[in-house]
Amino acid sequence: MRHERAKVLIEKQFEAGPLPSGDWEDLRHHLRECDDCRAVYDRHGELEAGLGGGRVLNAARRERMEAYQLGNAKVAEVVPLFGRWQTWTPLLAIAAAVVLYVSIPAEPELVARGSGGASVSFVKAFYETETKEAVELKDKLPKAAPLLFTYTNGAKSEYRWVAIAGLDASGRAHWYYPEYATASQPEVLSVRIAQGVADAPMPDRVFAEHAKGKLEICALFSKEPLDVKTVDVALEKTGRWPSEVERSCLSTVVADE
Amino acid sequence: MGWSSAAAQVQDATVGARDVAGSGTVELDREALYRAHVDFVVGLLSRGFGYRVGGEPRFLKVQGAFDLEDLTQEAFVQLFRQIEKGNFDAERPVRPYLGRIATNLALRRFRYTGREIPYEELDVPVTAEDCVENEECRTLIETFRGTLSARERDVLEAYYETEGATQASAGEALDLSRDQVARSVTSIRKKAIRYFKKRGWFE
Repeated sequence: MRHERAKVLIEKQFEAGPLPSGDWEDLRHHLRECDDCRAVYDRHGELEAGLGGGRVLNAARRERMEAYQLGNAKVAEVVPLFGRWQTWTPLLAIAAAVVLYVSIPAEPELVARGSGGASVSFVKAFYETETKEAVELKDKLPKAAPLLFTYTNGAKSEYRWVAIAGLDASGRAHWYYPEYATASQPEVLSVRIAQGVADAPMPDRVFAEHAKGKLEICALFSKEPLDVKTVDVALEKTGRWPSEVERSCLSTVVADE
Repeated sequence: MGWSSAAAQVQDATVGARDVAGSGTVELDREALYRAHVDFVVGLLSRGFGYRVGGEPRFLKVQGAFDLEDLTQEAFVQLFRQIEKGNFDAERPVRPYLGRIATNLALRRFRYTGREIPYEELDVPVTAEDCVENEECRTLIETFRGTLSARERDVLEAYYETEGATQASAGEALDLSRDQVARSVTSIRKKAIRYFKKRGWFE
């Protein structure tokens, strides 16, 4: 883990509470080795203790330690750019039965990285009807329908981050799953995903104002967090996804109901 | 290392254990176990403990926030692992065993990094390490409080400064939802970072 990333996570933990478990484990391993970053962590701890009247085990620290110890920290924290809605857990059962499908043109139906199922990574896309049913996204996306996603990431997958975006007919990119930028982390980055999971739901419905016509939705898997703005700028200039970014895509058409 | 009183040991034997369906088999409840003993482990490591090396008395105190949290987490991980392996007799008190795990982990981490304190230096006051004992930090906290809104000051008091508080209990005390408390806590933290950063605290 790079020092800059460690410091961002330290500040994020202090500001917003427990990190996703993957981030915490990465940070924890880094801090065991890095004296400088550990000193930054300790400094934040002192401030936290100061806010808590000098208590070593103040409320914030207690809740954070308990979240990490008892596994209550979130697996993957994702905040879509276009609105945050209720958690979408009931659709997990549906997702298991419905074919997902985002595939690169040369390998329809499956995005495989490496050999064997343990290395597979892919994203499933659905849209939600007015009666709250999840429908597999294929040829048509009703214009006003929210999108839902699940992801699968093999246990041996080298990917730990994903960004999901759509490029609509007007050439505009809609970023469904980056993290929000904050004052302490101004870069908009892709989101952390767990390894060894299948059909894990991304937690929110995503609403976006797509232009009517062709829509290409792509999942961008990466080993390090992707700076969304870098991809976005390139996309806007050329109208095409940068070739150096690994992606798996689905084409559909946005139309009225 | 006499960290357990007799009374604590008696209490300790039954905390976190439950009789599985009246079968006579005692199963340890991890969540209850953790909550029952986390204060003990944190207290033990942060107040420090004595030990001997080649007959010479020494003292070790875990001072950094990360080491304290990491060692505490690791101690419980080890405890649960021993329970899973069946190496721990559920009839025995947990606390002495857990205390030994925690102190051994701390010794392993620090013994060769020069962070021990020889007994003869124990009376030297710790300065600039704890915010409460550091006048600069104390002053900054006080002036920082003055920059908060009335609600934020209430939340600071009800959550941070109240023993055993949670966001839920702070919300109840202030007639706020847990979500409102959480948002206030995040706001306080963000303001604190900016305030302390501006004044060079993190340099």
